[in-house]
Amino acid sequence: MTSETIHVFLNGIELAVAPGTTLASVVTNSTSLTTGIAVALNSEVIPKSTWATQQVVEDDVIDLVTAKQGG
Amino acid sequence: MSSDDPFVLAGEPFTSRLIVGTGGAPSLEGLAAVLVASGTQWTTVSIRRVSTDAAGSVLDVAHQAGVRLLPNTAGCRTAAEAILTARLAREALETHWVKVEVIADERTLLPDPVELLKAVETLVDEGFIVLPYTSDDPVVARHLQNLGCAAVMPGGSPIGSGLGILNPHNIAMIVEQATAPVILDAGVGTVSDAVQAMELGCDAVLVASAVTKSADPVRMARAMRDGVSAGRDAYLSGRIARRFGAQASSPYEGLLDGMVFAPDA
Repeated sequence: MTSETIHVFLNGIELAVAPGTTLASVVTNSTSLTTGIAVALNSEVIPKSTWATQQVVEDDVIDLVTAKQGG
Repeated sequence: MSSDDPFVLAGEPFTSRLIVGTGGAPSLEGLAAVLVASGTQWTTVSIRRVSTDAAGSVLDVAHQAGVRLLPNTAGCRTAAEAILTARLAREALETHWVKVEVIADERTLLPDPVELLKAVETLVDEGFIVLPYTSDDPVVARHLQNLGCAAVMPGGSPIGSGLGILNPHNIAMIVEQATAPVILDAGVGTVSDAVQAMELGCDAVLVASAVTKSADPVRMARAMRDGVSAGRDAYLSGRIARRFGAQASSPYEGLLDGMVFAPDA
């Protein structure tokens, strides 16, 4: 039986998405930023060039980051 | 800043020996003016989760001010966290430069030397240009240099404390043994602290709170710029030695009878 949604964690918040959802889709649905951002999937940096083909799976932990004041 | 005395960092020459961080600024508004007033060519940024309510971008501020970005692993407590943060920064900002900060605890915000050395070793191997924030311990500074850091960044006193340089002797020892530029980082409270750092032989100074949290950040930024430049010139000028006793600067020859006695011949 195929689940209609899977659950991942984006920046610490649980998110329900369709199976087969790509990282690119998660990112564009989360922010209007297109530059100055990066993604870690389960603590591994995923190059932007592969976001469109990298699919998320159940319980994936996604961190979407950018530069902020500090340092 | 003199163009015949460039600040060379990782093989690149810079005209400013002052780095101004974005940390501590109450808002992005006015931060560009502060960076411009300081004459800095670099500013630090932290790497944090994207927030949906954020208005404006520190990246836009840096671009507006015409300064380069130095991402900082601020907030990391372990080597693993710092390494991941540095890799994320490289991906997001398309830079190999990183300031590595691995903090031991919230009370002191002192760097954890064990985790710092682990993080630096990995990041240097991965081709990062590493500027590590460290304590004023000359031994740790030497280890960092030996690992291939582009500079060492000893703190003068705890981050944000404004206590200045608590142990000038240690900073001088770090300078004496330096094989990479020394950038005083942390604890600067006002311009005289930055001047002292430069007079001790530091190659540059990084400030954040001292400028961003001052009552007049733009004015303080200008003052820091002038102070760092003056301190560098003083260092290059070769100061007089400290003496226990006085030494007259006026000649004894030609004194009128009855005036202050001349020293015994």
